[in-house]
Amino acid sequence: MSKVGLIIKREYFTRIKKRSFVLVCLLAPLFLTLSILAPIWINKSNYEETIVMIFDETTIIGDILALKKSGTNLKYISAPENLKLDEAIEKYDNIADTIILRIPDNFIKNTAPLVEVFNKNAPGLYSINKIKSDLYDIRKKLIVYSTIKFDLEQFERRMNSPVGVVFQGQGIHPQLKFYLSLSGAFVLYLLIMIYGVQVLRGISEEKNSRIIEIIISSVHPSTLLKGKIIGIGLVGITQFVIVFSLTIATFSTIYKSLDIQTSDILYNNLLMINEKGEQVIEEQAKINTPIMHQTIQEYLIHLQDYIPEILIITPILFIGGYLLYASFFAAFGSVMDSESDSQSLIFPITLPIVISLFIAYNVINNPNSALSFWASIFPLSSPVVMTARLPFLELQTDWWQIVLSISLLALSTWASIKFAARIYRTGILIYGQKPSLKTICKWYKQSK
Amino acid sequence: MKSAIKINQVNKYFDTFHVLKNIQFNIPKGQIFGLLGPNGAGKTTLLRILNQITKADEGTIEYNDEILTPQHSIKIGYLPEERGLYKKMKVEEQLLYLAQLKGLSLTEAKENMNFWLDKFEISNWKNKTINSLSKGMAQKIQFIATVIHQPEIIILDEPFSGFDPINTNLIKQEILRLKNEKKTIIYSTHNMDSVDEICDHIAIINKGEIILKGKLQTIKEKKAENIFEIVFNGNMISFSNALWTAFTLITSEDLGPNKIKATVKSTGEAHINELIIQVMQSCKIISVQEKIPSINEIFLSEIKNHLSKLNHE
Repeated sequence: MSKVGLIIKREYFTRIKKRSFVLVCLLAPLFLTLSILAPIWINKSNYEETIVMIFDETTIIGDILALKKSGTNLKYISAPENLKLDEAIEKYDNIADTIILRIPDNFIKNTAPLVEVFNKNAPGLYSINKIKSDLYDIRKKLIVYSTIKFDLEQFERRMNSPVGVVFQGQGIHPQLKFYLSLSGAFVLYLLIMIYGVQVLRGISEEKNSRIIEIIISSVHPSTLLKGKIIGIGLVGITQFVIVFSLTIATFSTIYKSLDIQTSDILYNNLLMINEKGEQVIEEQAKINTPIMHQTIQEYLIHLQDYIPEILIITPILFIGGYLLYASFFAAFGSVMDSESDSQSLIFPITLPIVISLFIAYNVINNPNSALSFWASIFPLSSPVVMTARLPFLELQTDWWQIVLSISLLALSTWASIKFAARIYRTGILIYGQKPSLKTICKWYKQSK
Repeated sequence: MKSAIKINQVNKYFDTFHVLKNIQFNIPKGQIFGLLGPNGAGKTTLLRILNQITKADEGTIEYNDEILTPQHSIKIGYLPEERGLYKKMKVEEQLLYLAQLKGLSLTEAKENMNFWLDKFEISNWKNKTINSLSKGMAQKIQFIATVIHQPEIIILDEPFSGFDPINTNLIKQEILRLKNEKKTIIYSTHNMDSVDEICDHIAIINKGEIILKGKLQTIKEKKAENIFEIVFNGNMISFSNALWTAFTLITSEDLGPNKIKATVKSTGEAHINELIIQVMQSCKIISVQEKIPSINEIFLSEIKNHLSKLNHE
């Protein structure tokens, strides 16, 4: 095996044998899956929390409330006709998830409208505020339009009809573009930072443990630097591939079981409203029950359009970005005397990539602005910003932007590795100094 | 005697500081060569140049009459003064890695590693991390790492520091054994007693200049000042009278009833034979020997003279 191969092997295997590596590989997919599924669980809990049983003396507001799809944890139902208020209070007093709401007959006319809420456990502030705001909305509309129940039902139906948007000819689903852009940029930023810092720490360790003299009496410093950067980069790729694959596997497994539960719960909850009007409820059930399932499936289908970007361009941007920043970290690690010194002074190196993450967050608002464009071309920011822009670019027409970005990145990476190797060669053997920029420039010239 | 290493007019500058000045000497093959000098004299820089860690700004180094190139690094083993190993790596992994970097195959590396671990009776350390070893134990591993690839040239910078007397002796014996195997050993140290014990040749470096070099025994003989130490039974007055004009008494010490140790210096070319002839009538000689200066005395005297010369310049 060549010397660079040996170094790559050591750097690679010592890291992937660490417990922390295995733990991250195993826990990160679970964490990522949970973070993806968290909104679904939250949604699920929204539909199963609190039932508001309405005793309406106005004869109109209760019906409208019962038709209202609040989109929160509240479910309004009208009290069955044969159930008296006193009986309901007695019957539901001990049931924590049911609120009894009495709307007095003077509620609309009264200038200071009051309602009564009965619940043994005081309802949450959010629930009370929501009930108040729902009642306020309905009361205002009733006053403004001074209309009767029948007309209002039709009016409400028209007014509350959700607006559907059909996206055509844009390839990837717009919301998916948004997610891919943000998550892609963030993952790239994280990988470059984590493994860049590992290069710095590795070099610092070799310098401080003084083994560096033994190693570079056997191999050229540039060979050692190359081996170290490539070895650690391969650890990054390995970890990314494991985490990515396990996340998909974990997500699919958990999502399948969750999907059935969520649909069932949703459907059951919606059926509870059946007491008021079957036709409307069934329609709502058809619309609402599979909505999340449909969205995720739709995303997965559209995700296939993005495969060239995920599998080819993003990894190239990662490799370029990692090599560029890792070489800076390497030069810096060789110059500094201790790991703590290096870590406190790496801010100037990390600044461009931190700024590029901020720019990446703005790309989703305007992917084709001058800032987005130039930041995706400029090598210090291009790995993160171009990854954020990729979902918004059309490969057939915008390919030149990607080629330009990658070419400049490759050129800069080559130059930065050359630069780092020359600083590294001298810096690695200097102890007890905090060299100035001038001194570093001298080292650069000396190590020609 | 054939030279393993030839250093020709080597100069090295750190910025404007002239660290090594026209260094020139040869290191004989199969010998132990002591490189001596005070702190900051330029020893480590010279050793780094020999190891090709840094380059000389001027001059050349030859290995077996060939210009030294990175290809020769496999022929050299280096134990730096500042020891270092990967702290979290296991002993076995570490030794195999370093041996392979020096060009050994995995099988050869394993074979040599087992040989050395068995030799030092530390085979059970294989799976220990360096972190868990004491300083002396780690030093042993470092020594093995230096010689595991069977180098022709072994460069040892303060090899005994950190060792207890038992392990110092163990390593000393190994160095002598390696010499018997015709390995060339370059030994840099401040420990002059060990130089006296094991070195064949020396060079003293001060302020970047070689101020003394050559075969140790020859240097010592040259530096001898015709001083003799004699132990006898008799009386001091008749002994002093017997010295006559050829020798001067420097010191005398009473060792017990009628037993005296005297130090005398020849005033001219008179040698040990003349001394014996002159005093044998006046006392009963127990022992007599020429007082050869120790390497420590030579070192101190040479450095002092060199510094004084530099001050005058």
